Amino acid sequence: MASLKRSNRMKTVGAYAVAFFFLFFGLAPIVWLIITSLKPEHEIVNRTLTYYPHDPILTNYVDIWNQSSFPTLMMNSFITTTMTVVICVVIGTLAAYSFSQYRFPGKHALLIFYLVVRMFPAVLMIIPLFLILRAFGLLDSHLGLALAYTSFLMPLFIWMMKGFFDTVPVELEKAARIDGCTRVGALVRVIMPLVRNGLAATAIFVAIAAWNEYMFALMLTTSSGSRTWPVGLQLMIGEFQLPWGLLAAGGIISIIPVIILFALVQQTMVRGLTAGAVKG
Amino acid sequence: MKALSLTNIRKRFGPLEVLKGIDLSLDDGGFLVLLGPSGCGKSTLLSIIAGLEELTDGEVKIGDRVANDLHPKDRNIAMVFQSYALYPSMSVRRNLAFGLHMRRVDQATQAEAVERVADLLGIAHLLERRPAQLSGGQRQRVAMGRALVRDPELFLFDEPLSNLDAKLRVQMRSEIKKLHNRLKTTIVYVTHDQVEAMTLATSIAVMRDGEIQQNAAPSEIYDRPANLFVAGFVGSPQMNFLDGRIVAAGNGASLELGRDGGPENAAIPLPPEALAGIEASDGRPVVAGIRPEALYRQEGGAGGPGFDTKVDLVEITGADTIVSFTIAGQEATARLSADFKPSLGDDLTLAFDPGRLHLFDRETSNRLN
Ligand SMILES: Nc1ncnc2c1ncn2[C@@H]1O[C@H](COP(=O)(O)OP(=O)(O)OP(=O)(O)O)[C@@H](O)[C@H]1O
Ligand SMILES: [Mg+2]
Repeated sequence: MASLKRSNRMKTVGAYAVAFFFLFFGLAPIVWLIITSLKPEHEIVNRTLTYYPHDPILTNYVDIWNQSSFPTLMMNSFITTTMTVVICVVIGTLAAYSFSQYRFPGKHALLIFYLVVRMFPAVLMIIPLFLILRAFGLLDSHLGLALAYTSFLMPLFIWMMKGFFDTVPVELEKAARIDGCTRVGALVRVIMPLVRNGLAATAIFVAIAAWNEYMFALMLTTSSGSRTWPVGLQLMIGEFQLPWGLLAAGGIISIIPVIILFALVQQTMVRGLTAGAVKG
Repeated sequence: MKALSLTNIRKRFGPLEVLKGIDLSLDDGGFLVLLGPSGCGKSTLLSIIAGLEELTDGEVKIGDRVANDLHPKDRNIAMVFQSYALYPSMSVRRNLAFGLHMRRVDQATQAEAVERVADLLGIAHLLERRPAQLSGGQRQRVAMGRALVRDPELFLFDEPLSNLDAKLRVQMRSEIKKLHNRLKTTIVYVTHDQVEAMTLATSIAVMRDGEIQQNAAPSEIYDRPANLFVAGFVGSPQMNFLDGRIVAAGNGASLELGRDGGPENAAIPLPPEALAGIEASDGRPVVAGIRPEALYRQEGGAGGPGFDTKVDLVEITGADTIVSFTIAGQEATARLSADFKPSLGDDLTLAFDPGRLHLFDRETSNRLN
């Protein structure tokens, strides 16, 4: 008995050790980023490593906000992200709904095609996308970048939302149409309230992916008019100077919206991701 | 006036022809049951009447309006679905009122209509609940309430009772019947349960593979089935089908049971009235249909036409005794009175009323007499 108890305790300790190891791996960079952002320049570039700032300062935050184009970068990111989410929500919801609830020729092939598109590395898509956007005069614009994002976020959105719509009985739409709704009206009034949590979860995935995206933004934007924060921050690394403090502060500022968004919809989102079938 | 007329309704899903020219009509206040096996197109036909599916060809007339191009909401119909399709995010009250709300009926009238229907169906105490908080039977009532509340011209029911347990199904069946008698509503009702069809309908349309096999009153469907399919689909235990021939004998004829080339034959002399409407072509191959309950035990002396056989199997249900036997090499059953308790292998003489003998053409499978 005693040995059984001990082996159980060993297992628990082992499990915690593994959990803490990975937690450390995930959290340490962020903690270090916060510490760095609070240090003055001379403390960052120093021969002796300090683990916490001796005299913490906020100048890095003030400076990056006031003396660089960072607010514009944030604004660009915000606009592009919003556009991406709106396009995905409007078109992706309709698409996911019809994939889930209707029968039509080619449906299966289209769905698989959308999955396959997701499997290509993004780098492969950049050059064709670049050419397409240039042809439409959409290079270096918010809309162009947002459209580029939908090329890989829309499949994700549709597949996730299809999963949520699949839990909705087909007869609901019919009942709503007999009660006087159009198909879209039935979707909005009767079906959407049932997949609300799923929609929130999916939209946030898309928003975070668009907000943090780097490679497409680097290739498809060229001016400060549409450049997003990950690219802008990278470009602040000059040939002769490496403003660590500013970069760290910029990084922290840019994850604040994500954290706020998460905090707001956390419950809804978790409920959406763990939801079972809709109860009739 | 006809409440519903369907003319030559056809429906294709790609290469698949699901409805192959349906003609039906229903009088005001009638109760039409669409009866048929799974996949024969019953739900599709109902969806076409409701306007939920486009039709490939034909005409749907509801009342005196051609409804082909009308939106479902403008057809003045209501529908009850097998899965009930209650709106899970709304309270029962909201579920009931939704159709009125969408038609911009004012609040007071809505509330009044909801109360009236809730009282009628005994669900007044459930109005504030969500569908997920209701039992199966309660959901069923709400689904019916949602149809009744708008007082439509035509009710469509798609297997509304098939998700209920056996006891509740019987209870709801009689409630639907009572409602129909009381409210004089016009109903099209889909089911593959023949007991539901027989008990509820004023008229039954038996469907198979997108075609109507017979459309008649329940008693007619039961007593004079138009072909082998209808005869076999309606009735439980199933009607006995025995291969045989009509053979002329004197000025009458006899039914000679037995498969062609089979070893055993049994000739049963038939009175002329059993053969009314059949051209007396000698040796015509037929299928004789006799319902198990049309057979009775003959104990000496005269009676209807009959035959001798032996008991193969006995099933005692309590209400009656089902006896299986073999005649002319073919298996059949008889439903006999419960006080008859034979043993296996006992001799048995069975007879039937010639008026309850059904004769079908063996090639076309259509009714002959
Ligand atoms: N939207 C559709 N697209 C393609 N085929 C369909 C569609 N809807 C129905 N079908 C096919 O049409 C046929 C008839 O279907 P329907 O639902 O009308 O049958 P049913 O008689 O109601 O059967 P059940 O008793 O099982 O409900 C089936 O073979 C079905 O697969
Ligand atoms: Mg059906």
